[in-house]
Amino acid sequence: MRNILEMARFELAAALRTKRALAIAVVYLVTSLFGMSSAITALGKMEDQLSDILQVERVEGKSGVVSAALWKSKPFQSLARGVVGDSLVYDDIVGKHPAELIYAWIVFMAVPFLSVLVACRRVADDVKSGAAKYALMRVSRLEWSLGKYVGQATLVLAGLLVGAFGAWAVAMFKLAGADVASMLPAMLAWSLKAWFLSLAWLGVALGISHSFSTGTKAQTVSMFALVAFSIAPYVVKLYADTAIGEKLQVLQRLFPSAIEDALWRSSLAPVAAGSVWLALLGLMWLSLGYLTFARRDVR
Amino acid sequence: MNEAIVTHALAKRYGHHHALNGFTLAVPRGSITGLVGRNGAGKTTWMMTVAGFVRPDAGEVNILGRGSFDAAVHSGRFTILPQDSDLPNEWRVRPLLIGYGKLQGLSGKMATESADGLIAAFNLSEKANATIRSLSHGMRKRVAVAQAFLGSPEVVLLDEPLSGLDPIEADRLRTFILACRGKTTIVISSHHLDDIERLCTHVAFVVAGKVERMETLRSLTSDTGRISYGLKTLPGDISGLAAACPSVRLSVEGVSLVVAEFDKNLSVEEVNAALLPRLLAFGVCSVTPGRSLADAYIGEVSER
Repeated sequence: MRNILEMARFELAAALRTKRALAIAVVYLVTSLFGMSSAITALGKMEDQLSDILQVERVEGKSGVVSAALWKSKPFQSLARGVVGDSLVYDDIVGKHPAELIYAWIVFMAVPFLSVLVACRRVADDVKSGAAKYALMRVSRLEWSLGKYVGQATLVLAGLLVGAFGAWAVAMFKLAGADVASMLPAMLAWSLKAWFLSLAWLGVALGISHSFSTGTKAQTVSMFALVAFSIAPYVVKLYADTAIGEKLQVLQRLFPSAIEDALWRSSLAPVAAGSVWLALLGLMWLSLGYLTFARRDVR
Repeated sequence: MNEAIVTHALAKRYGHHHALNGFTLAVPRGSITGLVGRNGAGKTTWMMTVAGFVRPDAGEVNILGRGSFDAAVHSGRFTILPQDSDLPNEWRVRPLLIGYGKLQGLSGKMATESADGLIAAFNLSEKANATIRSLSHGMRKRVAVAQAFLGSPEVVLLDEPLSGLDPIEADRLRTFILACRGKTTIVISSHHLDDIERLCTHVAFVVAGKVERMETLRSLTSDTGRISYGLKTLPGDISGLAAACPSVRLSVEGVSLVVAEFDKNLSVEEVNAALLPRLLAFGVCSVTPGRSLADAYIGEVSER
């Protein structure tokens, strides 16, 4: 365990020295800032249009007020329930401020891509350049791999926390008057949930990175896996009523995006179960790659 | 156990090429052993296999009597300077060495002390806070060599440690390695036979993936009927000398060497007694019994 943490520290220090850590924080921050800002602006416009159509007075500078009111309308609730598709998820998100939900949507959208992008070359590049050898004479291959995973996960967590503060700042600025201050803990909680999602995707990316001899190949395959794994749950839904549907339902539990719904819940049990499953998925995908790496020559 | 590393019948194939083909070698503890062989003979593959980077197809490795490389057992006790392996570019020299020290289990204080000692020993003090990227090839090589000596390991494998170093730094490294003699077991792979001859106590000739001969340097270079005489001026005609000592074959090498070769029934002292009085007139500068490692290696390999 000590060696894994030492290796994680080494990985983190490497990220700080290459300014990769800074780049990751900036990417998360910009994604949050830009995403939140755009979404709040779009929400405001939609609400203004809605006010115009309904011929009621616009609520200037308070995006989300109309949406919050809409949440309380029974017909809208049934419409939203249909759009969400999962009534348990709907029950948990109903009544939450739109800005909070927008942030959740942004991080859940961005985290898979950013996690894969950050991690997919980490092993393959080090093996290709030979830099891995300097560490592999000091720690075991397993410790090296787990250390890299823990290091990358810590980096993503830092990025997500920075992103949460950035999004909250934007909400404070653009939603003056709304009770935004109380949204910070909720946004941090969404970031934490997104981090569990990232654990699974980091496992996928690092698992792939363990299996290829160059960073470019690992990156290409990782991006393909990102797309394939993201659309897999939708494909499974298409076959839900067929004979193979049930088998596919089981199979899709191996894809991180299929577990994402659990993170939208509010109650602890499904969130905890989903988070643990995602962390295990990450380790599973990492292990698959590691099994290849453990048998392979590092030349 | 008197051997630091024992490998038995190691085999490794890449396609049709046998990189290791029954590589058997016992490296005595405290020795400095040189691996000599042509490109592709298997020296680097052997080192990579001993270090656990390459999985052998067959054979056994035993390091310090504790089996094949296992980081849990050998980390900090066994290190390697791998060939053609980049150090991480963005790291600075001192933090990188300290980081490697911590990775191999040294405390922060010990890692810092060890790194600082090696930085001074390898004349890197001025570049201690420079990034690896900013260093010249030779300086990177010195950092790479330095990392292999972090924490005073018991066994160090050095793959071409002197290549890329300027003469001053190469000499500094030779001095450092010689200071380790008897304390650290070092295996050096090099094409520079002069260096091997200067540094090593033992030498292994590696041919086509296996060790053809493993001896002490002394027995490899002196177990032969040969004396080289360095002279200020060469005699115009050596046939007169040859007549004085008919059982000795004389030849001229270069611009200042007369080489005497003789059968094993003659001793060095006997040949000297016969030849030296005649050679004194030409200004004898040196008398070197035996042959150089290069001669021994070329003689050995060309016989095959």
